[in-house]
Amino acid sequence: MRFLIKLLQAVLMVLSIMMMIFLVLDGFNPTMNFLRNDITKGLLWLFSLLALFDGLLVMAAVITGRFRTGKKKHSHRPHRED
Amino acid sequence: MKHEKEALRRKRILHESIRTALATLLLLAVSLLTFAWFHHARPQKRMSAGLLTATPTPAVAEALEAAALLPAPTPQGEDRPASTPAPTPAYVPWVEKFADRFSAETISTDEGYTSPNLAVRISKVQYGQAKTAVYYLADIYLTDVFQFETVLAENSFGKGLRESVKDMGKRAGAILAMTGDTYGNQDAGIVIRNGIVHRQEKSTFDVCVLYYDGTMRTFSPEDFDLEEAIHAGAYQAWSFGPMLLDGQGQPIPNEQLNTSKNIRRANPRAGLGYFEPGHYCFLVVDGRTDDASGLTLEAFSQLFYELGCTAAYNMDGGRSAEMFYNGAILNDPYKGGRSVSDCLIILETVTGKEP
Repeated sequence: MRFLIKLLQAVLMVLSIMMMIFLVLDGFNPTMNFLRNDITKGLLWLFSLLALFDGLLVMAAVITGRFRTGKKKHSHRPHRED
Repeated sequence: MKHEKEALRRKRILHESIRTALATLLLLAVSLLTFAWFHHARPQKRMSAGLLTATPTPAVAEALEAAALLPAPTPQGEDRPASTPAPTPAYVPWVEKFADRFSAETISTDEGYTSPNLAVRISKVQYGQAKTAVYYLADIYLTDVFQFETVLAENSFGKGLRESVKDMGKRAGAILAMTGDTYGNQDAGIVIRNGIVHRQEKSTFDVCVLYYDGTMRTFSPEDFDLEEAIHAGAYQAWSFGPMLLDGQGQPIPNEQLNTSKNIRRANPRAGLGYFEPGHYCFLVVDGRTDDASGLTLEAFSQLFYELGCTAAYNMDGGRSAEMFYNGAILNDPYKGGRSVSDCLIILETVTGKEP
């Protein structure tokens, strides 16, 4: 599961970088049609669906309390006083 | 002990981060290469629409010429003007019209080519002040519109098919050739080549049409009508642009050119100019080098205006901008040029177009 989540995040990063690259390239050379072709449309669909899925995963983790932020939780154990 | 554990933890995190970053980069590289292969590198022949425009038989040619010669219909009734409209000048065949440009014998030099059928004058000009642009101008006079052809890479209509301008020019036996509109990089855009409609889907780019009667017109995508163009005898049509002169033959201001900001910047250029039926020019500008910066689209438009063209159209520039003359590439293409999907050629004789 951990591997799948890591893979999902890597794929999302790759897709987002690809979309940014296409946006920049399209600005330089619109005749190459980097944005409006069928492959990019397919990738955009994939990106959107995976981002949605990733969002749901994160939300589920937050709701169930599995999502850990950087803050340390206060321990319920009483402090030892030596 | 605690410090050692912390150091170990940090080391582990660092290693994992590096591993993840490398894996992501690798995945990105593979994805981009795969995309590039499927998007534009993979050669794939496509089905041409295969429609013929007005059949180039002598009868049609005569009809087109006659249509061009007919005076405007005289208005009837009360609005009829008192004076007679000026007579339309009689049609003169190109061979007679440009007789002083042609020579009885074929003469081919670095400065030009003349024969009984064709005249091409080549000039290299330094243009601009601070950082000059070097341009190559080929002034062309034809005796027949069929001397003006287009060549497709690998002789096929498709996507990702590429060939150098030099190879295409040599293969076709061209006297002169220049980069075309690189139609193969796009999925849409009107493509009519040598009287055959290969692609009918319009794009957002301006369209340039050369008709069988030798006239050339440029259209914005909204104004272009394929059926009308076919009916009017479209012989060639390109979809790249933008058009560089407006309907009145005036240069087009920067902000009105139908392309993106980045394309308008100084770059190597290739363009087709039209003076009158039978008289055209190919213009290639070098750029992106220490000696030449290239031209902005606005300056390119101004240049065609200064040359006296009445219509002009931008072709694929940048690294693709190449002019072939007398068996060799004339200009100094950026990074040695690259293969493209099509080119414009000028032939000494009319080939394969007889009905």
